[in-house]
Amino acid sequence: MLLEMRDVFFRYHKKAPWILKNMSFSISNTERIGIIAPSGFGKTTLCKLLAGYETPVKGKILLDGKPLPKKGYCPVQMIWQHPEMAVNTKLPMKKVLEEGGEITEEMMKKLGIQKQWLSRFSPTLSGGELQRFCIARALGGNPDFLLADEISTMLDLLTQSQIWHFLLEEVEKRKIGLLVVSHDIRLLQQVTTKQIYLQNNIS
Amino acid sequence: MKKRMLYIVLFLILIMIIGYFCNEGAVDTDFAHKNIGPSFYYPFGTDWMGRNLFFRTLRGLSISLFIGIIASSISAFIALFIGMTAVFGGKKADAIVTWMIDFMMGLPHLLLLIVLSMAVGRELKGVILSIALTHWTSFARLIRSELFQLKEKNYIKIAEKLGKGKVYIFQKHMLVHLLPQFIVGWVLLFPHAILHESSMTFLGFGLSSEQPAIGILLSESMQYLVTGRWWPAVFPGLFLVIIVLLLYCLGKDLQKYISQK
Repeated sequence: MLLEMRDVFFRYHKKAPWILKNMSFSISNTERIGIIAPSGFGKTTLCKLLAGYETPVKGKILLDGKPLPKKGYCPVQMIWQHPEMAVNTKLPMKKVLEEGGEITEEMMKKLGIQKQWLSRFSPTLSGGELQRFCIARALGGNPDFLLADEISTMLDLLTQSQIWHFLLEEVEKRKIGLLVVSHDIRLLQQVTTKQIYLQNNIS
Repeated sequence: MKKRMLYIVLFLILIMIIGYFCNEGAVDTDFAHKNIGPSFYYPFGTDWMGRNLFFRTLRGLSISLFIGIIASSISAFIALFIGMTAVFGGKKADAIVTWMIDFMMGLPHLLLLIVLSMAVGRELKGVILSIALTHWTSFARLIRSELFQLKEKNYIKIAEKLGKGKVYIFQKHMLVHLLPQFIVGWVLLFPHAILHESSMTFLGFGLSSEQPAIGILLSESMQYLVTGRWWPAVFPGLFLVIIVLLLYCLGKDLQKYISQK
């Protein structure tokens, strides 16, 4: 499996400045790649493009040579930077988890999701607690690629290491390609095998 | 607040039930006791045909409430349907719906009500249909904007990428947010519907004069006001205002209650 970005140009609307200009790279499902960029560079936009939330103005996003499916399950799943915006505030967490598909108890245990959280609603949980649900939800289906967009910036070190241990284990076991986006170089050096440094050369 | 809402609902139901059984008392004429002012036996007085205005007022309120419930329910569902068409039917559907809402809002309200009512043939069905067909506009706009806002939420986009269909997303994600808004909007349509029913009937384009509707009572009282008989106008008018205010109160309380939850 290969996820490719080919000569991609992107801006949000016609008068907006270009966010990505002529960008190409690829990642296979056995790789773990980290992308480091200063804030405001367009890291989230990059992830949104790769996961099919946005379509490039020019260029292509290809999965094994074919464009991403427009409808139905997308094999490229993204974990968002702000979990509290990625969860419906009026649904109990149990329903949120179910949306991802089958989530085993073992997975919940490893992520540190407590059973009593399942009947609660998202505004009563902390960001770190919510992020675990989002990770479980993204892994619940059968993704080939996982995009982690600054998923651990708001977590304490203990939780960070717990979540990353789990993620790396799952990714290895299920042969999922992992793209980690962050501004934290030390984290990327630990969790990924290859790092890409992006610099602001767009004028 | 919860208690107040309960009392209002109970009071309105009580009026509807009592009004339903007041039909005979409301149309019975008694020329021996005509034009009597408010007294112990006739708390609201009697009119020029000796009919008991207390019963007539209650009956009129119950008719108004009945029309209000049916008309605002139809109107609310039209609004829901139109709002959903705008959001899920693509850009063209949205353009058409927006134009339709603007067009309907641009027309003079009362004139449209009268024309529609005349076209259907006045009476109960004319009043209900004309109110139902004219009151959905601002509510449809509210539903449309609410749904558009929801559509842009991250969790809805995530659900799409997890392979969930439109129906699933609407049922699971949107309905929980929309339903409270829908109920409040629906209740707030009530007072409008009732006021318009009364004004149409008052102007002679609504219910026929045999029926003791509030509008009829008020228009009949007009001729007697100048001769100093105030009770045929004051009591029905006052109670109409009270009912409308109570409904408005109920809607606002419901809004507050739901937003706190």
